[in-house]
Amino acid sequence: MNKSVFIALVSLVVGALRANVPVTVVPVTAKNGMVVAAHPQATAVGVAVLKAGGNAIDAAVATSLALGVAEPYGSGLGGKLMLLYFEAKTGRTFAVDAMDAAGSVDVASYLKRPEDDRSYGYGSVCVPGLAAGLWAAHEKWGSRPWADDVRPAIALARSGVTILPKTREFFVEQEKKLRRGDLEIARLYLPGGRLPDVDESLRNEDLARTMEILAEKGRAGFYRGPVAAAIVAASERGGGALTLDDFARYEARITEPVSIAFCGHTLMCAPPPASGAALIFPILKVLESETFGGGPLRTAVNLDKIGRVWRIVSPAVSLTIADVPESRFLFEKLMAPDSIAAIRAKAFGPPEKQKKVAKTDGGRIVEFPGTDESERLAVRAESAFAESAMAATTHFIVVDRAGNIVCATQSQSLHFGAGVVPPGTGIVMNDSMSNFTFIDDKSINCVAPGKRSRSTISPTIVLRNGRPDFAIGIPGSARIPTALLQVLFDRLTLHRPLAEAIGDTRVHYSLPFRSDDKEAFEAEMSFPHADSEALQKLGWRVNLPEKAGGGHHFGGINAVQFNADGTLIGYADPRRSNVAAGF
Amino acid sequence: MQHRFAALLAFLVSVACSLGATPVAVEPVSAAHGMVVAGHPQAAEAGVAVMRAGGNAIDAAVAVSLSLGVAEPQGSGMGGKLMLIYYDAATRQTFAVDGLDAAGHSFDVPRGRTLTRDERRLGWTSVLVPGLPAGLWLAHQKWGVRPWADDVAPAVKLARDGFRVLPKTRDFFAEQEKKLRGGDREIAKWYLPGGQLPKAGTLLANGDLARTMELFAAKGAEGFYRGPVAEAIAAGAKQGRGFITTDDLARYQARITAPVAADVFGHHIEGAPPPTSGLALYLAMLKTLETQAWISGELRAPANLHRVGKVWQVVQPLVSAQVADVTGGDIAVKKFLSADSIDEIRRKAGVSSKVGQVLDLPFSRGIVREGGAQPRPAAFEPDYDEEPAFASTTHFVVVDAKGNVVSCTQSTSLHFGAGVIAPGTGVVMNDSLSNFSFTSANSPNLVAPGKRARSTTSPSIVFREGRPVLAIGIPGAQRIPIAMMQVMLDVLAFQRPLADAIGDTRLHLLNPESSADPNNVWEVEASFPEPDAKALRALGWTVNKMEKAGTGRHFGGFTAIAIGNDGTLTGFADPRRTNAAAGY
Repeated sequence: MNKSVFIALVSLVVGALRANVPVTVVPVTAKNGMVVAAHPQATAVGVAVLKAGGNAIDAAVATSLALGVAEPYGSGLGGKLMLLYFEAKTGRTFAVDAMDAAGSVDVASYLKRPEDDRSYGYGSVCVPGLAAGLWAAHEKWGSRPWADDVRPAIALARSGVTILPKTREFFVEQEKKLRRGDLEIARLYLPGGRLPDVDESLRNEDLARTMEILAEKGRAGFYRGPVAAAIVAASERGGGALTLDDFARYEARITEPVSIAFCGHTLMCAPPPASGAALIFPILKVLESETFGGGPLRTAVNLDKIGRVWRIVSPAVSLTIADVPESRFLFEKLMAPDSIAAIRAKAFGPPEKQKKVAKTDGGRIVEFPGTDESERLAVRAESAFAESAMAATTHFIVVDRAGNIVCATQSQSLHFGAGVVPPGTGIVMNDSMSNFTFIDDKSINCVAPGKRSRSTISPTIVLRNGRPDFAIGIPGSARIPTALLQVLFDRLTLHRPLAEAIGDTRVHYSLPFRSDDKEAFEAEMSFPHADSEALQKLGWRVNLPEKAGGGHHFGGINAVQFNADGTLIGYADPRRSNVAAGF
Repeated sequence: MQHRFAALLAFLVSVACSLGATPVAVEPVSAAHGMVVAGHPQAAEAGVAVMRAGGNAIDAAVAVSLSLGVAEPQGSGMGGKLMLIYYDAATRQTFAVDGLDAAGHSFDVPRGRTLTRDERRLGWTSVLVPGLPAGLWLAHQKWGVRPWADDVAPAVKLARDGFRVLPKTRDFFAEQEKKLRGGDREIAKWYLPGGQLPKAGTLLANGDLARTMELFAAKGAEGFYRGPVAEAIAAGAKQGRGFITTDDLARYQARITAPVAADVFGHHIEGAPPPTSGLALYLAMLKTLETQAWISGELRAPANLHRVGKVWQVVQPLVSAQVADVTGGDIAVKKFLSADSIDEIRRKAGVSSKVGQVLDLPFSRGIVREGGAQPRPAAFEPDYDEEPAFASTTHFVVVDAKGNVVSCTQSTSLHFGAGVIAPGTGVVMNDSLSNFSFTSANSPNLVAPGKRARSTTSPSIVFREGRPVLAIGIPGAQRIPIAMMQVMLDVLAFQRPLADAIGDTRLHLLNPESSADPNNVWEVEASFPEPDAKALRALGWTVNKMEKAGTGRHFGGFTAIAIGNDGTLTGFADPRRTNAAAGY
């Protein structure tokens, strides 16, 4: 090992050990390639593909599908994918938008259905995008035969994945959904009618067969032919709106990420209909010159400061981001220098001025509201559905020898999605209909046939001088953007090692779920009592929903950092079943 | 009805003779079958030749447009944009082909914000994805009747053999010598032959452009937006720290949309829709002034110009705040031109809503300085870079024997655009990035990936009783809409012959670049009578004489074709530029 690498490694490890953070993240270094993913077997599959000569996209196909097998509650062929790809050769970053799209839904009658139909059963299922996304990425950038990249996941589904303690917790949490009535999901995930035990090996032969068709026929193996037919037939029986045409027409889109310059870095994040950037980027930009008193970040004063900006920006997100063409422009409006200046003035101006700005400027200042009370309420009420608290998601990162990066988040929307598996397919279906807005038909995120629902997922790649600095992402629904926000401030403003930034007490600002509710500050239980009291004095309601490291609520961050000498450091947050491995 | 007859008479008079003692003499040219009026005689001839060979107006437009790119390399071409209005005689429908320059989908907005003013108007950093080739291809796909390659061929030949450098051509080259010597070797190679400005009367060829157009002829839009040309452009951009990539080029699509339309002075005018803003501005002014009781029979009387200026002060900020490449921009223009909205503008500008009624306004009571700078709504703060004063553009019109009409404006934004040519392509690239707003969230023209920059181009077609009677347009950046407004007012409200309207002293109301700039500046040709200038100044206006009447560098030159009831075509080529009319 190169001496400087050794020193860097030692200093990092020592740093991590010395740092007084509640969750210890142990960095893993490698030279030639790295995979960080939420299950050791999925990580291993990705590394094996890299070792066999595959590039980052090849390994991503294998890892993505393996995660679908190993974390059936979190993501898979029945759900969505947002993948960022940094192409080392050109220095360009692309986004593969494979978000779930509404089927041929009759909006008027759908709006009359019970609320529960939007999150459980076939009525809540969108056309899944993941398979098309992997296929499109592989067509454009893959180097190995498609079937070879799909095969490891087939083997995993056939031989079985090991149930980890954290895996089992998610099964326990969702036992009710598994027992709610769909016989297929119960047959596959309650083997013998009971929850699988830790260390038990869980197989899914149907899924293996479905993936065999996918391996052989590519995109058409999923969106046409027997798999699509089985899903559509089950959907029709279950009151869903999916048609064979909806499947045949679905296409992943290769687009560009949204980006900002921040503290000498370029941040690339998932584009609309992913919404994370619209929350993270304005807050970062408003506080770009902020030093947080040199740190630490998580003091009452600093968190109040961030919270005040969050309070102004968060209502703008749902008015900016959706699967509509103008979303891209609305995002740029939100990020325009005079819009950022207006947010700053509003957050930190003298109280009279803050009030005056809100009053006289009306909807004008940045043309996003949060100023008009009725609009504010609508936004809040909408968020109650759009950002469901318990979304199930997973994030993984792959880096290959050439320096290509895949930074991808994939999801079923809620854990175990719609709670249904079309007979014979082995695929857990998403419930991404729950991510549309239903109460306001003027919302840009209102449900429409073929439209993709909004999501908070935010895979992010950070560049410095055009070269990758780190890639990062996290599952955790509404907590995704706030988690990234604090890690980015910690790393880029306060120059803290990533391991510490990830391991420190996680905090979150949460929107009220009902209009009579109040916004709240949330943190892991390691949050100091004194700061908690100080925040309450500043007017925040403080909730501590789980123990530090619990990971159910706050999710686990995965990241890969790039050293100047080309070595890679992987960070796998132990809040979830994440594992980093390289070679 | 009387009104219409009067206007009809005006047209006939304009055809018969041009007696008006205007500072610039416009010689109408007549033809029976087809006609082209364009910014260079060789381009006009190329269009006529295509029609003689059986091509329709769109076929001719392809030949004219590309030939103009050869013969006016400073003004427009394959590296720039196009807004083409097409009247289809068979269906009696009018369409707009939007081939405006667009920010690539990969456009890096944060980096765009770090660019200096110069970098936004010069060099590869200022280049957007060109729309002209896609616009021509789309129009030809939909309406052309001849093989595509045949329509492209005349321009290929012109580029290979060389176009005739006219005295006015040389003026433009001389004005831009600094840009041509700015460091880009390719542009110097073609447009400073032997290191010198080309002499008037010589032939100037561009062999690379001929080869690029051959690819375009063979492969259509793919020949430009994919393959070697696209790769050369992307490589040039990369080398010059520009933004556009091969993907951006491959993803560009021209659009066919509905034109902006309004009924005014008994006529129906259709023209360029958003993201262009010219029609919204000049149609709103015309509509507002429909009910104006003119003080004298002369548009250019100070009292009348005062009222026109007042109307402009109300309309201009509204247009800036509403019209751009945004979803619903077309609806915004419709609302803007609605009766209620026009009444509101009249109220603010002191124009009666009843025809011919003179309101008891401060002006008529003799209170001076009313025309001074007016407060504007603070909501919209234009960027300093918007609508640069020296945009270079060209306009051409084509009418074929079947009565199909093309009215098309094309541009590379500033003269010689970004001042760069991708090695081997011969194509002068646009600097349309200079047309975006970069800081103001309230500007609909704020830059965004995939978005098209706003433009003032105003190609128009005028109809009477459902029949096209005039196709008209003009280059000249922000002066375009005001020029259109005055010619239309002269013809439609003052019943003057078109040749006189075009030939008379040109006027402009200078756009403020920020709210700190005055919005009470009239720019005029030097032929504007000094007593009138004094009178306007006394009313609170600043009057700047910009150039000798007929120079055309600042004010641009009109190209128009009037279509008589019997189908006779009369072409008007404003000698302010190198315009020429040709027909058969």
